[in-house]
Amino acid sequence: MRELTEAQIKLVEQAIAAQCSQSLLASELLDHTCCAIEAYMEEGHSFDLSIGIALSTFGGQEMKKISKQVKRTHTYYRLKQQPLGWLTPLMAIGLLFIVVNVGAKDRPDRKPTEEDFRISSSFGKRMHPILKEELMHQGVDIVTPIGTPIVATADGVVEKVLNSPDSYGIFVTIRHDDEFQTVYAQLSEAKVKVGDKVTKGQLIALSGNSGRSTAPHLHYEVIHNGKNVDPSLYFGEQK
Amino acid sequence: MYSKELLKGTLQTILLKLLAENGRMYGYEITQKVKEQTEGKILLTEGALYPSLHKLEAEGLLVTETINIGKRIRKYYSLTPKGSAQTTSKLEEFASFISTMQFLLNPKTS
Repeated sequence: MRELTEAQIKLVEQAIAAQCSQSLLASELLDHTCCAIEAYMEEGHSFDLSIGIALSTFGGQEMKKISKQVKRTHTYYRLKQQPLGWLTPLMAIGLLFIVVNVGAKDRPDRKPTEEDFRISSSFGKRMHPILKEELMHQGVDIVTPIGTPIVATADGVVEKVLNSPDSYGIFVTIRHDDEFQTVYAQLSEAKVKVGDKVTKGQLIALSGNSGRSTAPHLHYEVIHNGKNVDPSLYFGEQK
Repeated sequence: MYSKELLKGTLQTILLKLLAENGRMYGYEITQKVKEQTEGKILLTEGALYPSLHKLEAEGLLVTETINIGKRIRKYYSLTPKGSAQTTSKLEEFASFISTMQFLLNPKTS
């Protein structure tokens, strides 16, 4: 029986490594391929032709596929042997699911209206329409006809229901969790009172034109850790 | 060559039976033995053989020993006692399956 030289084996090893590096099967595939090459050479073929035939029986991705399959088998049985093997990853997924779900409910991640309305003034510095000064706009102005239903953008508790005629007009603030608060202003009517528990999407007010306002709209703010942030960044997340 | 589906269902039985007959064997040897004994009618591909061997090993039916054969390493597979017991029951099941199939394919006319 022909036996491959060390240099030839090295070549085969490189060819296999090119197809699948660091395989659990590497030494086994090497021996297998070498055996096949030796058998072809025994029939009288050259090394170059034999290695070509031996490697081609695997096809392009075959070695990689086999290696992956074997690795999966090993992982599967390793997990199965540990008494808590399956439980650990499942619990991790479960915990993540709970955190994401609970987190999502307390996070204002939707628009305060069921319908889509145009935004007339976005968050950031702007010329104040009445004071004619460049001031920070702490929220977004959404062009809502008077009486448009306004909904809570996350679960929470109503913190304030007030009327301040020379600024916010009738407004509602909701505390969601330790991190988030939202403000709904320029309303015509509040439908909740201080201390009410509200859920995401629940009707809390009707929009209006109260306070310092030039046209009917909803002024909406998101406060994250005490700082006003751009509410439009939170619109896309769910609705 | 038979269909992939047929081979899939019988591959473990083939491997266990071969190892029961020949003691320890390595991968390439198994493919050659099957080819020889079936006159080339069953050709085990590497893609079917190695995943199956590793699965049987993980299930505790096979043990392996790795031997240096000079310029490279060779991994031999052999049956564990659990594997031997499994071979017997698999072969019995398969024999019974064949006779059932025969019965199904050639119903005796009464």
